[in-house]
Amino acid sequence: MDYHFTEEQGLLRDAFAQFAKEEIAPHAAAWDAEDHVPMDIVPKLGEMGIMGVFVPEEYGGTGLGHIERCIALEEIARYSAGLAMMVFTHHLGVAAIVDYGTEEQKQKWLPGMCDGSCVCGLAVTEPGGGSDVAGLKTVAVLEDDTWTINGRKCFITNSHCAGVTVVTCRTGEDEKGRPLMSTIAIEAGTEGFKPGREENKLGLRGSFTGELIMDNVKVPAGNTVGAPGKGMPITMKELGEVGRASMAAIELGILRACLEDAVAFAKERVLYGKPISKLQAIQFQIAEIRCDYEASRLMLYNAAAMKDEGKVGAEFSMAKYFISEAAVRSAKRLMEIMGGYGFVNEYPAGRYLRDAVGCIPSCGTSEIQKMIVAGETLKKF
Amino acid sequence: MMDMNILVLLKPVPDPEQERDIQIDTGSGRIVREGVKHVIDPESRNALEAALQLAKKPGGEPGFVAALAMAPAQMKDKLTEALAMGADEAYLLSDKAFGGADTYATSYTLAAAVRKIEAEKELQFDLILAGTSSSDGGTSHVAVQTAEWLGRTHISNVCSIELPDSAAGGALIRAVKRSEEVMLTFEGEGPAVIGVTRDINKPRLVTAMGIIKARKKPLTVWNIEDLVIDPDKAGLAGSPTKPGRLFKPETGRTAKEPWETPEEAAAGILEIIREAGI
Amino acid sequence: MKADDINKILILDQGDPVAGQLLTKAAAVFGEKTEYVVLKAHKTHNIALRMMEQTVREENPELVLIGATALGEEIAPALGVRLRTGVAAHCVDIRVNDEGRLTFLIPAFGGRVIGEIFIPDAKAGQPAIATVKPGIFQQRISLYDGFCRTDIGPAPSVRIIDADALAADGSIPEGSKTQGAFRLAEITPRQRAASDIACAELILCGGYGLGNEETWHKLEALADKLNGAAACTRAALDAGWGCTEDTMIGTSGRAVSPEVYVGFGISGAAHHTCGIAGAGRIISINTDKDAEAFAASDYKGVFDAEQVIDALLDQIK
Repeated sequence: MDYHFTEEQGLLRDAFAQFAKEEIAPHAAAWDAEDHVPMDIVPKLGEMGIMGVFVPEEYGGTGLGHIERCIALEEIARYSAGLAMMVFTHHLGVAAIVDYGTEEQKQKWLPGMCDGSCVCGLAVTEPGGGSDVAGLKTVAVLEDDTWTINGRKCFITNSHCAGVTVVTCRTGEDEKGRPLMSTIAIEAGTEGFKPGREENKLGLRGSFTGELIMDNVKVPAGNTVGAPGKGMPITMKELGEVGRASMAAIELGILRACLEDAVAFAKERVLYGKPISKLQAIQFQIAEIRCDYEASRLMLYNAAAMKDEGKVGAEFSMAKYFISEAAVRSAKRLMEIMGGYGFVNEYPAGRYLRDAVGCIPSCGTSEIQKMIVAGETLKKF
Repeated sequence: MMDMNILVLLKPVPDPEQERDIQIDTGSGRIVREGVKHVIDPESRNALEAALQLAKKPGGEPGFVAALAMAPAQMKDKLTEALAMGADEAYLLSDKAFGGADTYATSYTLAAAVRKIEAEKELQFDLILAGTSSSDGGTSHVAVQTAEWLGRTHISNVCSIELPDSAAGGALIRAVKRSEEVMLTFEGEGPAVIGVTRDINKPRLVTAMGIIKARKKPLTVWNIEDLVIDPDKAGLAGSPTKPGRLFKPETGRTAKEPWETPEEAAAGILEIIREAGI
Repeated sequence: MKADDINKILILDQGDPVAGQLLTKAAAVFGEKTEYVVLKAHKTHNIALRMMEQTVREENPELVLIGATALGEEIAPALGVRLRTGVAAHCVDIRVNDEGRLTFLIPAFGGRVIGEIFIPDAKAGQPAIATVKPGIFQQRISLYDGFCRTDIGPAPSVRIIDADALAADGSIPEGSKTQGAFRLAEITPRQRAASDIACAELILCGGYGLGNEETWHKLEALADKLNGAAACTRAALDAGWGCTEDTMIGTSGRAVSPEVYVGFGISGAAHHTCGIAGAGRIISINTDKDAEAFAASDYKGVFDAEQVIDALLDQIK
């Protein structure tokens, strides 16, 4: 189980795994059951270097790449996919600031986002849909160097805990009448900006998902992340690369949980005088999970390596599609292996399945990923 | 504030969590090491944590913490991990000629490395810290024997180390040693070699930032020619104890299973206790 | 070194029963032709170490046996370096093998593996040194100091060198309150006497399978009512149910040899089972029918530990 990690990446993985084992594993079931968002762990994630793992060191980050970011998310999601959702969405907003933010924005926000004192969010989806970015209705109007923003976002992760949220707004039309979008950072506590309804989710519990309401919110023009009117490519790039990579990493963590729990259970559970791991029917299930895990791992870390080298294409879409389906398959297999134990909430198999299913819509459903993959494939071959 | 120079002896060991799977190769009679994950021995990790706490007190002039291990070259990452935890420098003694060393030959080689580090750095370590007992061999020898080769004080089974007058610039070291019936508090000034126990502290986790900082810290690898030692005293050749066969322990017991219910078991247990005349 | 070459054995008496255990074992292995010398030394490091070194140089034994107590674990390896000889740590057996060689059996990996150790170049004055944990060689038998048990054969003749007496007449320099260059500033008693489980004839030991603190307290109450001692495994200790390290059995804890040992909810990692090898009868209760503990037991029951403890409490009312 070693995708050519460097010695340093190996150490990081061990460090993150140890952290997850000590700080996350003992609480993951309770966070899920109570849908409790563990805000007290965020500074610890900051201290570990996970909150700002890919942020340059001069802004308080760790200065690593996307492979390392995926390692962190896989290790967190191994025990709590819900918490991993919070971290991934934070990374999404942070990535927009790192990639497109002004020097002033970086110095103002990134240090707190790295040390865990400020959680970041990115808000795109609206009640009308998520993947149709051009159809967004939240509007920002610039007057006297001040944006006035009105609209409503929904299904936003970190909606109720983000200190800064990067919001995608419609800010005009081009000469052909197509909408122009801008990404604007809004700080929590700004007048007229407030979280709305908090969703009660099937899976990925332990993270906030909810509405953001913008009612005549006024922010300075200096809060624009990237050039005005370029919000669409910025959003698409961060969702497409950071977002899909993260979701794939979280699904990979769930998949590994299924693998490890399946093996542990099969060795412990005795039927007819021997552990069920001796039964071929169980072995086949375990072999399927293992193959899914190894294939997923290669796809994800290969894509992340390509991203770090700046030449990633549709690889993250392929990984996101394949791994999310593989995670659902493996969770179902785990439940079959565990029989009745798989069905009761005392064991985490049901949580893995709910989380795996919950991952599918984030950053594009499987159908969306397949459209992207097909688009690139038809061009390339 | 007194700044301390501390050396930590680290031992890479097979992961104690995988001990259940330890296999003996029936042909060679040796432990199968292939595919076994190695980690820093848990008590050595406590020793490193203790060193970092003593030498890197907030607000004080930071002292110097070095880590030293004798291990095959592929264990280098364990020293990188020590640097990531906060050690300033690390030294790996790695040579085929060191292989098969018992605690006598190991401590002899470690002591030679200590002298070399001290000569190069022009300092004397106030403390050398180690785990009292490693998770694999568990002899409790190496800290004591390294001290003997160096002619320094040694104390093992230490569960607390304090520097009571360091704020006033004093060099006093106070160490609490656990013995069977009592706790013994010793006081003195370095140099000394102290073996710590698991309960002395909870070692910090390695952080991503620590790993990045470790990139810039020196990690020196020495072979047998780098040390001033008698080659006949190193490795298997220099070891007065020689290993023979390894085997899984036999208990010589075969368990009967005479009881059908917990109540029967309880009655049976009471009967056995009575038979034994207790 | 051949066992036949051993003419004299030096044993360190630290003032606890382990010296008697070592003497018993040595007498059983090496018989009457060997001379036995016991050095009674203060429980202080510097004097014990210096006197051991001096006695070896004067008496020229071929074998030195030291109890692996907190003190013995420091004296033995230090002596090894001073005398330029090998030390076999925490022996679980000392034997003469088929070739007549002196063989030490030592545990590794917490007792999961036992290895043979030889010290081939040991000789008179440069002796093989071995340490043995208290309790490994039959706990309650002591062959001198008035504890002689005749049912294991005649006691060997033993010469006792009393370092305490030497200290009193001034021939030992100061040093009773020092370890190396450090001075002993304070002695504080530990919370619970370590001898609780060491001398117990009945031990009820709880493992992680007890499941919770409440069951541990039930086990303690049961042990109390049966005039036995409650003990624990490392896993139970780490669970933080209130068990203390003094009552932990195993390689990192204590070795015991009660008449009857009952283990509840103990997986039976070798760490633990090697600490009970000397017990009379071993009973194990565990829900896991494949628990390693069963292989080291005389009686087993595949039951929930708490149910059996409850039944026992019920039946002794």
